[in-house]
Order: sequence, then C-alpha cells, then structure tokens
Amino acid sequence: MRLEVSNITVQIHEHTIVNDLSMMLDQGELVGLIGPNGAGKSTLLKAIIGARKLSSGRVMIDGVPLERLSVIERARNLSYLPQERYVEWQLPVRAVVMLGRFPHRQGFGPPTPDCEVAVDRALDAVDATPFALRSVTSLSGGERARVLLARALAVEAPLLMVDEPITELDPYHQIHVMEILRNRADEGTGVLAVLHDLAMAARFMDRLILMNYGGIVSTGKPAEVINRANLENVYRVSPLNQPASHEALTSPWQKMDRNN
Amino acid sequence: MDDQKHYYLLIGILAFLVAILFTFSVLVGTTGSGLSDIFTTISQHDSEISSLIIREIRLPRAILGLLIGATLGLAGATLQGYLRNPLAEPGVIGVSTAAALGAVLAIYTGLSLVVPLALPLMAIGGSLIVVLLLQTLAGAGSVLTLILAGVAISSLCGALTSLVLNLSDNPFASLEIVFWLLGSITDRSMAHVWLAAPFILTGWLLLIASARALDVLSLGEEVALSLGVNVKQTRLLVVSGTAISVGACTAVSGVIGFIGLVVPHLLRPLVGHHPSRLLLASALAGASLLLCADILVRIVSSSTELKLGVVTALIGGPFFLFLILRLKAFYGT
Repeated sequence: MRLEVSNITVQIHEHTIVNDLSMMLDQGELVGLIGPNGAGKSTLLKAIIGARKLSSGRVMIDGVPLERLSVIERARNLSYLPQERYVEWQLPVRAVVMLGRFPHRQGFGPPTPDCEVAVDRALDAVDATPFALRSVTSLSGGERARVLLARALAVEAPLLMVDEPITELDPYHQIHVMEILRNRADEGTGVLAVLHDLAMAARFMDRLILMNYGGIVSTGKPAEVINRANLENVYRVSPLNQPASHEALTSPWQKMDRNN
Repeated sequence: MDDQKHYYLLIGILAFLVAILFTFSVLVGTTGSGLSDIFTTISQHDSEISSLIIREIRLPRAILGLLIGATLGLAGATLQGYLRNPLAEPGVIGVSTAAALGAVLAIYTGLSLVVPLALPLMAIGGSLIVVLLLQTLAGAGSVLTLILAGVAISSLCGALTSLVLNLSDNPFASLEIVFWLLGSITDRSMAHVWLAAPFILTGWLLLIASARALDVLSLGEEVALSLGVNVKQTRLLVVSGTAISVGACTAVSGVIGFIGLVVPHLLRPLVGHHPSRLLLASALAGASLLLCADILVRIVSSSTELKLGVVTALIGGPFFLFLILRLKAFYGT
C-alpha cells in the first residue's frame, strides 16, 4: 500500500500552512517528518487524514483519491494519532484502546475476538496492560500518551500517521515507542511520524522529510538531511562537536544569532 | 464481559422502576382505583367514572410523563456526549425556548382557544425552525459555533416571549402563558399523546443513531473523523433529534428543566462513563424521575397543584450547585 501526496496546499484563515507539497510513503517504510515549530508538519498530517480542506492537490492511497474512498475504508487504511492527548470522560484504558476498532465494528454488539486480540496486542506493545482497567484520566501524561498510541495501533491500519509520539515520554519509553514504530514498519506498515528529537529521528528512521514554511526543504537518509547547512538554515542551531562525516549531526547544539 | 453484565443489570433495574412508577402514576390521584380497575378499563370500553378518569386523564398523563422524561434524559445524555460537555442539556441549543415561544404566540393570538391543538403545533413549528437555523448558522462549524448559536437563539426567543407577555393586555392570557411556561402534564388528553408521540419517537431514533459516534467523539473530532465517523452527519442527527423530540415535549408540557442535565450526570459513573451506554440508561432514569416528580406533585399539593417544571427545577437547582462545588473540588481551584 502506498500513500501519495501530490501538490497539496492547505490554507487556514488565508495563511498558507502547507504549500504545494508532494511526498510518498511506502509500505514498510518508517519515515520521520521533522522541522521547526510552525513548519506545517501537523497540518500536513491532518490534511492527509482529511481533517483539513485542501486548497489544491490531492492525497491518494494506491492511486485512489482519498475522497473516493468511503469514510470506513479510509479509516481502516489510515490510522492517526494527533499531537493533543485528548480524552473526555473517565473511560477505562481498555475501552479507549477499543475505540481504535471502531472502523472494524458494526452495530452495538460486543467486540469480536479479532478486536479483543488487536486491543490486547496494542496494550501489550505500549506496556499498558498493567493499567488496562484503570480510568484514563487517572494516568500520568506519559502513560496517557502511550494509551492513545495503543489506540492508534489497535486500528491495525496499513498506514500509520503519528504526531509527536514520544514528546511526553521518559527516556526508556521514548526508545520503547520508537522500537514499536520500527517493528510495525518491519511488519509492513507505512509509518509517518512527526518528531522533534533529531537524535531519535536519526537513530530509528529509514528516511527523513525536513519541512520549513509549509514546504519540503530536504529529504533522504537521516545523515543526508541532518547536516550543518540544514541545521543552521532551518533550525537556527549549529552543532558544538564535529562528528564523523557520514553521521547525522545530532546534539549538543548551540543557538545561532537570529541574524545569522 | 463483567462490565457488560453490569450494564444490562442496570438497564433491567431502571426498566423495572419505570414500569412500577408508570403503574403507580395511573393509580394515584384524588379518586382511588385498584389494579383490577385499570385492566378492565384498558380492555373494555365501559363508561364508569373511575375508568373514565383513568382512560381520559391519568393514562395520557402517565404516558406523557414517561415519554417526556425519557426524551429529556436521552437528549441530555446525547448532547453531553456530542458536545463533550457535562453541563450541556437540551435547552442549550435553544430548542425549549423556541418551542415555548411558538406556544406562547398561540395563546397570545387566541388561536389556542379556537383550535386547541394550535398550541402544540406552533411549538413544534418553533423547534423545527431552530433546526433549520442551527444547520444554517453552525452546520459546518465547530462545537463552539453550535453552542454560541444555541445561546443566541435561546436568548432571542426568551426576549420575544417576554415581549409577548409585555404586550399582552389580556390578564387571563398572561396568566395562562405564565402557567404554561412553568411546565406541567396535568389535564392532557390522548390527543396530546397522539400529536407528540410521532415526533418524540422520530427524535429518539435520530438520537440513538448517533450513539456509536459519541463514544469515538470522546477522543476529539479529528480522531473521530480518522476512525470513520461522519462528523457532519452526527451533528445533524443530534441537533435534529433533540429539536424534534424535545420540541414536541415542550409543545405538550411547557418547559421542564434540569432533568436533561441532572440525569446523565447521576448515571455516568454507573455505565462506566461510556457516552453510548448513557443514552438508554438516561432515558429510563429520566422517565423514572419525571413520573416520580409528577406523582409527588399529586400527593403533596392540596388546593393548588404544584407545577411539574417548578418541582424538577427545585430538585435540579440545588443539584447543579452541588455539581459546581464538586467540579471545583476536583480541579482544586
């Protein structure tokens, strides 16, 4: 399964947030979407899942424009984890993850064994089984973030869009979640993850897409993208140490003067 | 699952409670009747006084109590789920006030004296106009736009109702308007039941059709969309379902507040906080509460019967305060 974004432009209140952007995501690929705040990363993800109106261009799955798929077909193919870790009501953790099975369930009946298995697997993957019966509002920020990731995993869609999946996590679980994404990609899922941690991005991702001002600045293997020129021009930081030439330039950095 | 069994048990208990209260509602009044009277009345068409009272007065009253209570509970639970706001209730989208305005106009113009059913019909008309207004104003907007539009419609209709009262030079009409606004199901006939029931039941179907989407909406609209919920369609179901059913209720009973707010709150922890499970449970509990309040009204009052809307507000008001205090304690501010 291939996700194809071709020449999309997204405008919000007449500001162009994503500008004539094209990209592709293949099955089994783990791709990091990086860029400074306000580059348009989250908006791109929202545009892909159909939550933002496109001014032009289109999003296709296996060559079929998204608007031609039914909402359920789209939901089964494209799973999405937003940046906001939002849950209303004190739902039990397991019930939240079960919501990820919504596109696979019809009517009001109890969940099928397939659904139960997918939910168990997702809970287990994020280490949430021990608190599966607790209410989601009683969890810490990091635990809740993992539960919501499990919700996105439980869809078991061939394409997974995750927005800052590790931002709120402790170091152990940052690596843990990156490994989960890696595993999903190895099993054949196409994963697109928005990341701010360039070291993690360089370590785990097959490919990086660097965005700035709503467009793509650079794309390729991590070492090709995280280089001095991009860090200085896009992120306005410069590396303190000079690593070997074939490695990505990851922290520590220093801030650069605004006028540089 | 254990959780599931717990839910079915709750529904069973609530349904039993509704059945008991309904029977009680038919039995209780100034004229005593036994159970056997009721059955003979319903099965045969004899014209003795007690059976006449049951068939013509108490039965429509009990049926309306059941339908209206269930509607308020169901619509309140649906709106709280859809708006993801525990303080939402059917009045929040302006339906009750619009229906009330329609009814008040019917009394003011004297139309209700000429054609008795003009009152409920104009009230239903008022609520249908609200559906159209809300769809035009907030059909594609955010939840906030919907609430704002609802508040605007609500205050406008409230102001217009006050204007009608202000302009009314007939003291009897004014008194009738005020009494009607207080909310009651006394002296309603089967004609009222037949008029309101189709609208109420249609509204129920629309509201229940939104149930599954409500669960997913607890993760926010964008996630719901990504999971295959048609967000616009859900809004149309919730708004039109509430307007049609609550509008029809207001048309026959006047404004009965607080049930739509209080009942979903009480029940939410008992259904494991699932928005979809809250619907049926709230409908049954709403029916119980209204039947109970209506029985109370009959038992307590002597010469002047208390108005049902007054009693539910008297129960609901303090509960609302309690709710605010609890929320305050919860957030620690």
